Amino acid sequence: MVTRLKEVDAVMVGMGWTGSIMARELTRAGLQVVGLERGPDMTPAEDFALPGIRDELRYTQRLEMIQDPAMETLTFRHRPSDSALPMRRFGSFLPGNGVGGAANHWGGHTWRFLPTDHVTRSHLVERYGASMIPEGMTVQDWAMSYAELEPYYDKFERLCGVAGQAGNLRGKKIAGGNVFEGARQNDYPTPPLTQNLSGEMFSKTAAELGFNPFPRPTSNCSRPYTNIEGLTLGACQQCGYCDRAGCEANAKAGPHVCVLPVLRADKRFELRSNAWVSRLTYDKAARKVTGVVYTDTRSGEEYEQPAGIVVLSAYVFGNVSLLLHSGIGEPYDPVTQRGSVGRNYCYQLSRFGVTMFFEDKYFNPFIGSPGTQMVIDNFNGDNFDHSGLGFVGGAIISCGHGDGRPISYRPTPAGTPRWGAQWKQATAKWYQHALTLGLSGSNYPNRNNYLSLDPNYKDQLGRPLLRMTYNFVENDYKLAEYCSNKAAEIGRAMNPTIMGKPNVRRGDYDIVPYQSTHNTGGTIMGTDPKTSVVNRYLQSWDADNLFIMGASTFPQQAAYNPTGPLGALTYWSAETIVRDYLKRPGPLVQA
Amino acid sequence: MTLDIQFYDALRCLRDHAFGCPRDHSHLRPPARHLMAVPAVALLSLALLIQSGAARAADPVRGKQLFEACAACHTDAPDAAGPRLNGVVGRAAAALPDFRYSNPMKRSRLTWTEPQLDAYLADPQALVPGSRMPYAGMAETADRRDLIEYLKTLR
Repeated sequence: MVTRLKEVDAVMVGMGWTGSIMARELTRAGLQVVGLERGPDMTPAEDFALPGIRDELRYTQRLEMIQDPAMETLTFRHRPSDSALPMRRFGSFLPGNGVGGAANHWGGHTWRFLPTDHVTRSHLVERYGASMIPEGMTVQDWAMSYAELEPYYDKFERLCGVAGQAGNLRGKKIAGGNVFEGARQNDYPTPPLTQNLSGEMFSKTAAELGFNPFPRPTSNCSRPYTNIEGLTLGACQQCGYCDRAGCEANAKAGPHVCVLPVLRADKRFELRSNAWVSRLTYDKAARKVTGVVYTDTRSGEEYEQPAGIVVLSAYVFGNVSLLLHSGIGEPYDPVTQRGSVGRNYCYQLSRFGVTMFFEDKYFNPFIGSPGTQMVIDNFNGDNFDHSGLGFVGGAIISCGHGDGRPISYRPTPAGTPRWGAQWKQATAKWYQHALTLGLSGSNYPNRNNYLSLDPNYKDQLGRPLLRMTYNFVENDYKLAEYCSNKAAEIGRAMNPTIMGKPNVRRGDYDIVPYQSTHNTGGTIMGTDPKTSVVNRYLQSWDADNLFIMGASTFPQQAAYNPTGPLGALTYWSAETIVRDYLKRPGPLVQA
Repeated sequence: MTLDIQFYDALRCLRDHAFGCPRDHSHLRPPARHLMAVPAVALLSLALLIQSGAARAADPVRGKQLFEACAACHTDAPDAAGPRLNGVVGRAAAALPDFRYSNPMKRSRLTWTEPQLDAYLADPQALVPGSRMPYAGMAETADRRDLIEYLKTLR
């Protein structure tokens, strides 16, 4: 029996980054907002505090902060002709859980997509001709330009206190920053983190080779910072336990530190955790979502929450599966290429770098953070001439330290036995002396990579699981090979004692080893309802009062981590809802 | 009345180093390392000289700026990561009933006199090993003095 609750102005489905920011912007405009979160609530003082938070077994290995696949998981297959099987353990990607979402345990990398990333298709066609885009690659332009989104990138950076060095300040190129970045109105809110020896060595060699190294922009504040909500973040302690766990010093940006304290004090906002939304209630004829139905996971009771506006902020998988479970929009069919829900699922090319050893250098890998890195952008996006290379897109190349943890960090040179006394000796010998040139590559969409509902497997609520059909294609292999060879050139020039081989993958995508949690697409933005799910304001083409947030709106994934753009997009969409939609509910864009 | 922080600093230095400290001092830069060779009496005279030549008075305004490094955790919020510091100077350690102090802090039986605060701020883990404050320490004596002066204004 479903208990029907009193209607509210807006409901957020998921209280991670986008749900928290949107809730704050809507309550500020005077709306009564309910935030629903499937997982538990938590506070930094209790859940991210020393000494317990520095527990590699609990957080890095046993994934305490990650979504429990026993509750809800995905099925996976490489190609439409395969039969999908459930992922019983998360590996390749680690979805977040609970109030704060993945921002509770992320590594903080915060970028602005390149101006060309916002117009991927048009730019490639303009520079190289339409034949440059391989058969089956369904790249699209974003529905807004970099220049339009710039003030919102800036706002999100000032919410987080991002530490970095500007490379293009109002058109003026600044050496030491990323000279390829789009022009920015303001510098970063806090200066770059102090770098490690490894980052400095990489930076020196890269500069000597004519590249343009810069410090990785990261939402680990380099010094105490009071954000645009009046909340104060601490300085990153470079503790070495950052990703997969919370921050002991309130220095890593996330909803708990940057937004939620203000929301919790606001009578217009109500947070309900342990509230698992199972479907949206949809009036197709009226083009309206009338509310959501959710289950209290503690009691099993079901509730219907009517709302004037519904915001889907439930991560890529939650957003796509809820649309499919609720019958909103047309599911994508890879054969006919009709429908758009689930279309253009993309991932990230990760972990294909090269590891090297320097017997006379001590890197202190246990001091640092994921953001304590130097990066070059020279082989990213379309920052270099792709003529004759046979692929499109690119990768960033980075170097630094911040994760020298006792269980996970045991680099050994090739040829070392993988267990036993010799392995133990080698890990002790080389612990201080290894560094890796890491790469993160763009992943452009393919007609056969998509999300849909599984015909066989169900979740704890009895709903079909989401099914991921995904594999790498020729463009990805060529990109990885080219860029890792470039990284290897830099590596050799750094003069290591032992030079490793680039870890370029060949063969099918492997869901087992961790790569990144940069899943994108499935509810992509666009100007044409036939090939997109939301318009440029992230408003659903099928329901005027439904707005969809997050990286599920990206038409394809660039080389950069997706958090910066999705934060900017939330502010962009929120502003339009408050300024335009509330005054004149209805379609914001005529198709 | 409490003696000036610098004098206590100098005395602690004497206590730790001037009487044949067996620890390895190779990590210290000169002149600190060279001081190890100087007789205790000479060091004491030097300490008094430094103390009497102490430059300016403690500056609570500067102390408030330095407090920014602390403000992320030491807030008024009920779920703040650190305890409220109103009235901390002169208070017993681990005194607030609504804050979950670490066991080492509860067992420390310290009173936050200015010298004790100074020692704690200089090296939290040295004074209270195992306590939970994620802060490495404030190296400069003058900084700690200004910060403590600011803390005294928090009632």
